[in-house]
Amino acid sequence: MSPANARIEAEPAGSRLPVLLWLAWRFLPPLDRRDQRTLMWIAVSCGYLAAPLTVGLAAKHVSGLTLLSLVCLSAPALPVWWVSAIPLGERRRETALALRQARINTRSAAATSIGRQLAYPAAGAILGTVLITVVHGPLAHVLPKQAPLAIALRNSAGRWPLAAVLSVILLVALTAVLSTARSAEAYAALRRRAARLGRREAAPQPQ
Amino acid sequence: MEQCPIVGHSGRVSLPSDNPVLNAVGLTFPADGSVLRGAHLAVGEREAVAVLGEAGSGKSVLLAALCGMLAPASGTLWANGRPLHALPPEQRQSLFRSRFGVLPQDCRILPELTVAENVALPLRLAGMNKSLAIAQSRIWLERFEIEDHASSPAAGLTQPVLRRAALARAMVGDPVVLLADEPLADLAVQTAESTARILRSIAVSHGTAVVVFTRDPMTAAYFGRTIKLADGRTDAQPASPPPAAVPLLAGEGVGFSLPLGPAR
Repeated sequence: MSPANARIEAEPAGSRLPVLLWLAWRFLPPLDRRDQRTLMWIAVSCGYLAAPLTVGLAAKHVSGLTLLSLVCLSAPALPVWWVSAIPLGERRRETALALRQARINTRSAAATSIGRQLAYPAAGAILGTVLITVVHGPLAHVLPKQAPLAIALRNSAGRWPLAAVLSVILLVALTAVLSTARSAEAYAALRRRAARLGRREAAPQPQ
Repeated sequence: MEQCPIVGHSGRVSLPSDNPVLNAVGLTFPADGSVLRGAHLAVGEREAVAVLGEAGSGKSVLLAALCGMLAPASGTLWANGRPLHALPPEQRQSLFRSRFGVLPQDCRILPELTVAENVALPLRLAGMNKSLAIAQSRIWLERFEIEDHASSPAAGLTQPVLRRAALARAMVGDPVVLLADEPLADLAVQTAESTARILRSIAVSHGTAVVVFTRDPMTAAYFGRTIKLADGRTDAQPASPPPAAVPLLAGEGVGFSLPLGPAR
């Protein structure tokens, strides 16, 4: 068989779908240790954030104090979430670029490369929402009656399934926002500013 | 190994091909000509040409215009006797995908796939079954002397191997025109020489018009003819368009000075 026989003709769109699905499947597993760490942290942070988010969305009425307590509860996961979302986005953009160079059109390349950006945050968020949906009853009894979280849990009768679905969607969408190039630029700018502040503080003071 | 003809470009510039496979006439971008101002390029069948220009001379924009990623403000572009400038964007893109092979400077290979799977990807997307596409890709890997890496995952391979794999991927669809941006950059002298030899031999054996964009005169010297690009202008003379060219779309205008579309 000669290589000259392989000229690419205009292909029917249907024949590409199985190949694109196969590619999307191949992109899902982590590639190396660094990648594994990124995906693990993104799933863990989304799982953690799913709990306060679901509680907040399920509550009929959220007072200022309860909102503040939910934000404080979320706070530890927020930096991890942002820092892990940036490499996730970089990887997606590189994959999309490589696919475009392999003659896949822009839209198909974007759709094929987005799999892991959806799968890992969604998996973490689903686990987190399932967990909080199951344990919210016992948790409301265990917490002190005046605790903001206990008040929020007591206010949240009946809306748990909707809140669970909404929080998964919100977490996946917000992960996508955090993994954009603009978000990476904002993070880099923040780090530069923090480093500059650190240097200024460390500079020797005039006697 | 074939001796690389180190030909000074001074004596071999500005000679348009008699029967160009790729013929760009008066490409201008943007409308005020601040990047490209009337660039001409004519490359014949079985010809390997280098476009030599400093950084900022408009090489990347010319390449983008030639491979359909960018619509020049004015000028005409013919490939294999077809007036690409007269085609609607979707048809032009489809034609570029099927008839042009492109090696960008920042060529990317999917690290999740093996080298052979990467090279076979354009064929699989075109509907060829997996085993046939892999067999075809192995022919090209052998041609580029990296068949030993065919079954290796692309992650962790060296840059020269990846670059050759990207060249094999660009050639696997047997394109009419191969456009390569700095294909020999960062390669050791011996590897660069052998890659240039392979590109020249592909031009001859497959009738592919090979156009290499580079800023390095030594790289340009590996190829048969050099076209200099400076300040958005080439030193080549415009070649005549094919007289018997038939437009692909009835009712579309054919000829010179037809705008390719709005400048982006």
